[in-house]
Amino acid sequence: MYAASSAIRRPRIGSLGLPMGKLGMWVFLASEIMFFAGLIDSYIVLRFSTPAWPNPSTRLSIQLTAFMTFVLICSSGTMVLALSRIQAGDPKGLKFWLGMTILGGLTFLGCQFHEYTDFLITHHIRPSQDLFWGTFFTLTGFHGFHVTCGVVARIWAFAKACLGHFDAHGHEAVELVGLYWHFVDLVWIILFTIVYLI
Amino acid sequence: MSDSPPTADAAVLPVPHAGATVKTYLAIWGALAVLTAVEIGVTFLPISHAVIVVSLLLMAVVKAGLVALFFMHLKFDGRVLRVLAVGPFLFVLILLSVLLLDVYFVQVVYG
Repeated sequence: MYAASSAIRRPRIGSLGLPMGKLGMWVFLASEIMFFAGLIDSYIVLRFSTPAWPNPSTRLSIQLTAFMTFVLICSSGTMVLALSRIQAGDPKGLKFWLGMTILGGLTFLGCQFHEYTDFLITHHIRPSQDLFWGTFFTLTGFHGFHVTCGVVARIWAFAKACLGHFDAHGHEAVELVGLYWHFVDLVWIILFTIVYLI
Repeated sequence: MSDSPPTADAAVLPVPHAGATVKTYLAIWGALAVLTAVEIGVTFLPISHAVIVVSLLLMAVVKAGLVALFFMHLKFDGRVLRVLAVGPFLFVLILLSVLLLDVYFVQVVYG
């Protein structure tokens, strides 16, 4: 009991009065906002400067990505529930909802894998084919990479939860992987709208 | 230090703020799901493309705002984190404005 509890880390408060891990994660997310902003801005400019941009619904499966969007929103919901369970001192609830969040992330990645293999292998589409496909693979590819990192981070947090590393007062890692995951969800909300719907 | 019970250490720490209640989280999740369904529905409406684009962008901004404010706890966090979150958008706006001006000049003025 004590051996497991001693592994629990309390958040360290910095001179700004904020937990240092949380501040660090937000600085990282600020850089991520600018990273995705660069990609999204390039996409907007390329679309504006290309008169005959194809209607996305003629090339992409909106039903599949609508399902992927729904799964990602659900996994963001399960992530906040995971955090609220451990804040209430319920490690079992944390493990359950964290597991559901991992499942949501894997489902999203499975759908994206299916989408990519359909385009790349079945239809022999290449990113270099035209601007539409170039921007599509760049934007969704980088987002998919972030989803993968998010899933790996949550598997790590899940393993730590199983080893008893979190309690009501020491669960900063859960909060940090949660913040990252919500950011990935937020980026997808924007990408789904501008790449698939508009 | 090492032989003190961990509960004593925890007792002096403030109770972690819960952010929002589970009920609020579920309401936000519901709003996000409904807005996504509305977004897809709007694309099938027989209205002008410009109206569809503007309404889709507005709904995306609302959804992103809900995620940031509630799921990412910005509504309950202090000023420093809010500035950190909103600050980059200033650079995003500068970048987008300059790039769009470039497109305008290339296409309309010199085109």
